Formats: sequence, structure tokens, C-alpha cells
Amino acid sequence: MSLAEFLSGLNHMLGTGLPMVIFSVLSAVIIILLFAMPVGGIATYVERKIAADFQERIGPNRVGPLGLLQFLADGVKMFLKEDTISKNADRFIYNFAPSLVMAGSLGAFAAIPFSAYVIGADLNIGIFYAMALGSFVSLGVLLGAWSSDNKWSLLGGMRGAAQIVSYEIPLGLTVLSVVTISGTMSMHELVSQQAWPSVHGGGHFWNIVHNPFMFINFFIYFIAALAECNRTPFDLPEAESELVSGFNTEFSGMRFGLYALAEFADVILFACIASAIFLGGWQLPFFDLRNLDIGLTVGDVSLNPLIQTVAMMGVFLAKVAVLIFVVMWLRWTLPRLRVDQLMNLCWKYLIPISFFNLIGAAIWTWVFKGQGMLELLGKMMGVL
Amino acid sequence: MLQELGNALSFVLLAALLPPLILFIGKFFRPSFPHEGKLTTYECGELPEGSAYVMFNNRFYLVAIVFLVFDVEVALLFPILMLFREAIDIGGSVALQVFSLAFAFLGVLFIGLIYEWKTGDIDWVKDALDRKNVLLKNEASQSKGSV
Repeated sequence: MSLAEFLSGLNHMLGTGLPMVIFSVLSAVIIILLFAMPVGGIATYVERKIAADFQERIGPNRVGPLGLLQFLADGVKMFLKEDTISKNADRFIYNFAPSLVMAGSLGAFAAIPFSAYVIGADLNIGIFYAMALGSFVSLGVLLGAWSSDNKWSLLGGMRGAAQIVSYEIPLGLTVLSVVTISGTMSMHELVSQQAWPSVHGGGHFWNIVHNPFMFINFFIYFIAALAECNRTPFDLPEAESELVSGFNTEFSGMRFGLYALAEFADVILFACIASAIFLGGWQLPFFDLRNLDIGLTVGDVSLNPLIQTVAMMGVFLAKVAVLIFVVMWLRWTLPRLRVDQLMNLCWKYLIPISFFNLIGAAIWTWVFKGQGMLELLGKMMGVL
Repeated sequence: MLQELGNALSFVLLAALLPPLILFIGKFFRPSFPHEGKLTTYECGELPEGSAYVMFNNRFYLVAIVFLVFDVEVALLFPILMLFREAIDIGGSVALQVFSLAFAFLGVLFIGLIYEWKTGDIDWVKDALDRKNVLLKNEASQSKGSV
């Protein structure tokens, strides 16, 4: 059930007859403006704090308690900065590029299953939709870079385009292996299947432990996603030490802010997808949260769905937070790759490995009729 | 399903309309003092030298072509492999058909990848590699001569 349907259910209860369009827009507003953008902002603060910890500095600590409101101050500052557009810039494309980047990174949040009941759009091609929109980002980066008529930008944008398009292939192949073992592209279905195996049905548990090939595929997905988000060690499009600021050199004030926000939203998006398709989304080991029953009621209405949703979102967001922390950790651990090393890693290692993993996962599915390692183990031990 | 597609569309439209909206609202708050020097392209403080629209290394072009082929293939494989589980449940030779269809397709592409690998089309610095090979060849012929 999508968020818009849930909201329109409330509408029926309250007896107001508003058209469905309003609720789908409202669900988009809730997820984009109240989740993706604030979390993207907070991620900038968290990143600076973590960076400070790694380098034994204090980090932002002036605005608000512990510097927590730093991201709001940054946002206000960028909002009030002068917007300079160089006179040689291709103005139409220059204005249009941030929209593409935002549409790619924030629009894909529609397919993220936050809980069994909260999902922006429960598409039957959910994962495909998220991947397709994700590739808009590279287009926006390239257009923004090209249109600003700056040599640094052009170099950064070209690198970005080459990098993002290359890493999309291992990314696509790993996602394809998930689709192969699950037999569905709906995000809701993908997560539901990853329940803890039990005597009364259940699922095959998290895809990462479905079979050995999927275990390797998770790491390939993670590396490719890092490159897709232009994060260190793959931050060649920005490469401050060689390309000034890379593809966004000519972007000032709020335009730069939008690019930065889109980048962080992209990191969150890929962490969300990784935890949904590999780490079981809102599924916990040993217990299916859909069976959670605390017996609270208001009148005749059971509060269980609400409590379950809160628990599921907590589990899901905890997994996402761990992945985002690892991304930030890597930034202060690994040095930047050289551009030819980057291409070699993708074309000569990740693509062949993910290709063989895809075949392996397909054969595993065929031989064991879609059962995961945990299910087989349980059957061997006679528990299932 | 139409409703869900509508939901997804509202996400994309909202996300795409946010930047112009934010920039439009900001117009009433931010200063605007354009100046000849300020509006020139940034080139480390020097006067910009020519345009950035120059002839560019066609490495990027080759990578884009190889990518296009692979991405189309991944996109086409999604629906085929999604039905694999269902085909296994049907039993008989259906699963074999789906499997061989998908992986014959993928196999041809993989042979293509190996070909590109061998010809050096996916090496970023092809010239340097060629030079290295020439050097190695010379070295080999020299050592052969000395023996």
C-alpha cells in the first residue's frame, strides 16, 4: 500500500472528498521535503562531525546545541548568496541542469520501501524505476559542467559521465541478480520475501545471505554505488586538488547548494536501495515485524499497523544510517583513485565478477528452487 | 497501477520543480551586483584563455558506446530474468529455455567485452600502453638478437 492510498484512507475516515491527485502530491511532499531534504542536510553536518572526529578536531559546534543547526545556517547562507552566472554560459542548459540532478536523486525516493505500509509509489517495476532515475544524475552533472564553459568543469563533467556510466553496468548486473533470485521487481515484494524463514512460510532471509554469490554482489553493489554518488575514493569529477571544484566550479550560491544536496540525497538513496534489496529492508532476524502485536486499541481500531510502521521504519533507517556511516568512514580512509585505475577496476574486475555472480546466482536459484542458504540449513537440521 | 505511476510522477515533478522554485524565491532576497570581472569564466584568477568547447579526447566516446551496448542489454535482461523463478516453478524445459536465452545473449556481449579488452578499447591510456608494448617488443627482439 502506498503512502498516497494510506492518506486517502484517512480522508475517507474524516469524510472529506478530496481527489486522489492531492494525496499523491502530498505523499511526494512528505517524503521529499520532510525526509530526503532534511536528512540530506543533516548528513552534511554528520559528515563534518565524523571528519572532525577522524582528524581529532572538534568540528562545527557553534550553531545550536552541538552545532546541530549548522546545516540550516549553511542553507540560509547559500540562499542569500549572489547568483553569478558567467556570461559565456549556455544559460538554458545551465538553469535546467540542477532540475535534472534533483529529479534523478529525489524522484527515485518514490520507490523506497520505508515500511510495509509506507512507500511513495508501490510500482511493480520499483527497482528498475529507481535505477533508471538514478542515471539522470550523470546527465545533469554532464550538462551542468558543459554549459558553464569552464575548462575545469568540462574535465570534471567528462570524468563524471565516464565514471557514472561505467559503474552503472556492475550496478545493473548486481541488481539483476537480486531480481533473478526473487522473481519480482516490486520493492515491497523484494523486502517481504526477505523475512526470517519459519515453519509457517516466512522467506529466504536477507538477500546478502541468500547464496555466496549474493554476498560478493553486495560488496560490488556498494563499490559501484560509491562511484555513482561520486564519493571518495571515486570523487574524480570533483577532485578538489586537481580540478578546483570539478563539474560545479561555475555554480555559486544556491545552485551549488542544490548540487551538494542532490549528491547527499544520492548517497542516502543508494544506502536505502542497498539496505532494501540486500540487507532485508525492515526485516529483522528471528522475528517478523508484521506479526508484532502489542494489543493497544483506540476504540475499535487496533494501533498495531502504526506501531509496526514505527518499528519497521526504525529498523530500516538504522540499516541506512550504518551504510551512510561506512560511506563517510571510507572517505577518510582511502585515497582517490587515478582515472585509469578507476576504469580498470570497473571494466576488468567488477563487470566480469558481477557477470559470473549473476550466472552463479541463477544456477543456485535453479538447483535449490529459489531457497536461500538459511532455509537449506534449517531443513538440513530439521528445524524447518 | 496507474495510480502508483501517478504517485511516482508527482515525485519526479516535485523534485524537478524544486530548483527553479527555490531559485525564484531566492531572487527577492539575494543581492545582485553584476560586474564585468565577476561574470568572466573562472580560470584561477587569470583572464580566461579561449573557449572551453574544444576538441576532446574520444576515449570518452568509446566508453559511452560500450556502455550503451551493455546498458541496453541489462535493461532487456530485467524482464527475462524476472520470469526465471516462475519458469523454475513451471518445471520441464521452460527454465532451461529462459536460462539459455538470457545467457546466450549475455555471453555474446561478454565475448565482445573480451574483444574490447584485448584490443585495448577499455584502457583509459591506450597510447601509453601501445608505447609500452612497442618497447617490450623491441626489448624482446634485441634480446633475441643478442642470443
